[in-house]
Amino acid sequence: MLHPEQRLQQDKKNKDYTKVIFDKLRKLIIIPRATEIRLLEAIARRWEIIGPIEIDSNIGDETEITRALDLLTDHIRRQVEYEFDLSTEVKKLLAILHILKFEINGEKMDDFVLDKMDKEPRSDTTPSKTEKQQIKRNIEKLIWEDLRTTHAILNKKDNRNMPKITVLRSIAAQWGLQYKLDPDLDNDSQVNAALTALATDVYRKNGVGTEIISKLSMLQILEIVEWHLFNSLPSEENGEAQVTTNASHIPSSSQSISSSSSSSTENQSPLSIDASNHISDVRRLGSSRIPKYPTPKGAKRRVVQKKKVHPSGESRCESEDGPIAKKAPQDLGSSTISLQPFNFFSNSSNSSSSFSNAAFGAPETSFCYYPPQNQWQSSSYTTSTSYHIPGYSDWIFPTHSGDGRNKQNPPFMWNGCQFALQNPQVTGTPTEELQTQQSLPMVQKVIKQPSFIEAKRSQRKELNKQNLSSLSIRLPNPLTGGIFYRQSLYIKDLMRLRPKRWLGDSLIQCAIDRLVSENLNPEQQEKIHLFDSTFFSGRAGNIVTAEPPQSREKMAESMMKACVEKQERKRKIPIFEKDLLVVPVNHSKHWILCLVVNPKGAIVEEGKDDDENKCRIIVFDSIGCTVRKKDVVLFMKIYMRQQFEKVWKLNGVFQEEIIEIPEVEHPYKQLNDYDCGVYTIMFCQSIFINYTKFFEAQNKPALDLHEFDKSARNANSMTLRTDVLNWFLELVDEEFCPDLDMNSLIEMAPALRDII
Amino acid sequence: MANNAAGVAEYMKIKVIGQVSNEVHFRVKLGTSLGKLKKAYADRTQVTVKSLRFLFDGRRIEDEDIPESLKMEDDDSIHVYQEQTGG
Repeated sequence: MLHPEQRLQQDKKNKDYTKVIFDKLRKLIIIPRATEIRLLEAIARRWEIIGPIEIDSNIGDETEITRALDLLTDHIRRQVEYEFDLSTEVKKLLAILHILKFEINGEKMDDFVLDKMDKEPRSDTTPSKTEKQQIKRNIEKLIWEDLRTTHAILNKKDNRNMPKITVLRSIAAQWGLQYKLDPDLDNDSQVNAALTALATDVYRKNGVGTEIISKLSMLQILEIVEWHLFNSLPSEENGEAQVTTNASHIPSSSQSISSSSSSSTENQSPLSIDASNHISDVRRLGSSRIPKYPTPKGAKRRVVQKKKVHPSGESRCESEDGPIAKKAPQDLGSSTISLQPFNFFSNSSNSSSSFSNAAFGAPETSFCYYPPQNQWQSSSYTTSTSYHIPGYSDWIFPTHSGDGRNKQNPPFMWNGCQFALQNPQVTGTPTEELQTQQSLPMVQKVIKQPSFIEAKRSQRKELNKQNLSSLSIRLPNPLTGGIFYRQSLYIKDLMRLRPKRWLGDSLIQCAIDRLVSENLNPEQQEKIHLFDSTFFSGRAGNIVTAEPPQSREKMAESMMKACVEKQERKRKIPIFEKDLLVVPVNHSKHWILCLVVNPKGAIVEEGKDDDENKCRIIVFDSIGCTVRKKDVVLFMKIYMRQQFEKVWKLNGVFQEEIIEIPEVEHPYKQLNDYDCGVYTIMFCQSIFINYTKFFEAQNKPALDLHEFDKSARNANSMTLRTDVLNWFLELVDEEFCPDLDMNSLIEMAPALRDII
Repeated sequence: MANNAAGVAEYMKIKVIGQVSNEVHFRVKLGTSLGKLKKAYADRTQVTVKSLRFLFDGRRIEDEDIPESLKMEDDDSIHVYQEQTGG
């Protein structure tokens, strides 16, 4: 095994330092999905650098990071007294880390030098395997607890000590499932089997294919079941959240979900012990990860705060907080449930400030479980099982809620949270409730929150929106013939319909597919061949954009080589039997639509004189670029010739000269630099909705789009985009993305920027 | 190539050809879902799967496709393209 030091030296030194520093930053600033750019962004917010770093999807990651770094170092130059060497990127990063460490930990600046990095073993940057397992186990425990309590609420009886399998069977009975015990299996496998059965049922009820169940881990399945069970909580029930302040008890655990008022302290005691077990585990883990943090008043606090957000939308914290509780009534101490932590904070009145104090104030050892990033991103299940949700996870920056400190440490705004703020239900009520209770000295209190369940519901809605990141939209399987591929659209693609964004290939292909399958009858569909959008750019993209530009002859030569792939000779595309070839073309970042009508018309056989069906190449281009048109026409001609001569070897002569290239008149004039994709979809729409008329009209020397589509009108960009979006949203299952529209898409965008 | 008793190929070699003509070879079972292959390739090139387009015979490969359903043969190639945007 290689020693970590050796490995460091072997790698490129610079790169490695950046990595190490980013790892350290990650430990300092706990944010979900801490990509490098997001970290920098978070730091910028922390330092109140105005003009947030805008992510431009057209620039590569590296450039963004450099830009963000420049902004940050500017700030350092202006604001920080200590002189830093900011000559290279690594040094800039180091300076940032340095300052942050000083700010958060109070570490001295000068005992931190670059050389030190070499000596630090790598292993401390990531939790070890056993620790990870420990985390997993803890989470599993918590979910089981939730499952039991939810079940208890539903059945109105306390069954917390029931064996797992009994709980599951009872749930199964409730859902009307026939579930049989398999006597051959041991206890664990029985539980697993029961869980799988339940999860399958959930999926079936939601109309989702059940095959993905097999790909999920047991933990994920458990979550799904719990989530669904929680969903079935009756809405009328007014939940009560408990805020427990217990100065004498150290593990004052409060369960946000154990909402039935019957559960008294005695009932809770087993739970408390349980919870404190987690806590000690968690603290061990947490303290190894999160540095110490000086509290505003200098008091050394011992707050162990555990927050876990899972798909049920329920956030739970367990906090253990001795000293704060003693400051009651002002600091009412270890209160627990913050449904929308940020909201409380923003309303920083007396009571809510204490609330947020407990929630935010001193996460000396706060702990969030984030599964490895790749795992998160790769989950494309419709019921996502991700743990961390940006909307609720602004535990990130320890913010002080003292009066003066507020200005120094502005509330850290998480994008998702800004979004969450717009939900009035959640914002108002809980805080008000708290305020009414404020004057009473409290040792132990139950605060009634009528909107509790409702708040949870809206949280869940938010979550659903978060889940959208993995949403995929399927065209209802269009055809039996199978010339059209099934295509998935992701929310990432829909996001591209936001104003001023460029459209991606998925959208355009999906649009063409849908239009063809909805408007054309099977016979007509048989006579069409749809090319993939990579068809042109994959074969000729490099040729037409070559620097320096090549002459047409040279272009033609290299196209000839590139246009037919080896494999195509084995499995030929019968292009000469088709009426229409549809080629969406991306020519140097511009979408155009190329149609070849009657490819057979280009073949002249002796003795036959067919004037009726001429071959035509029609190019629809919203900005009418002649160069692009020429390139595309040239390529299509060469492609057809190659197909004719090399692949199909048909009789007759292929005559390029008789292929007509009509001028096209159309109302879709693009006046900006971002709408060409939308117009390409509009062209397809006009053509396929009026398919027969189009075939009649195309035979004229000059083609006017109005001739076959009288309703075609140009509109402003936003209208067109909204129309196209709504048209796509018709395909979306409402359950998985409630009220998705252009506005929500725009609002959601910042929170989803990682996947866009 | 491993042949079983019936003489049917259990595994086949599939080339995945990137845009700069770099080839990666995969050995897959006839029944393996190509989603796995996509993911493996994406991991290797450190790009997210969703930003890659895998084409076989001019058609996009979906995750559930298996070599058998696409009638892939030994030594066939899959082309990979980056996702495209345009304005």
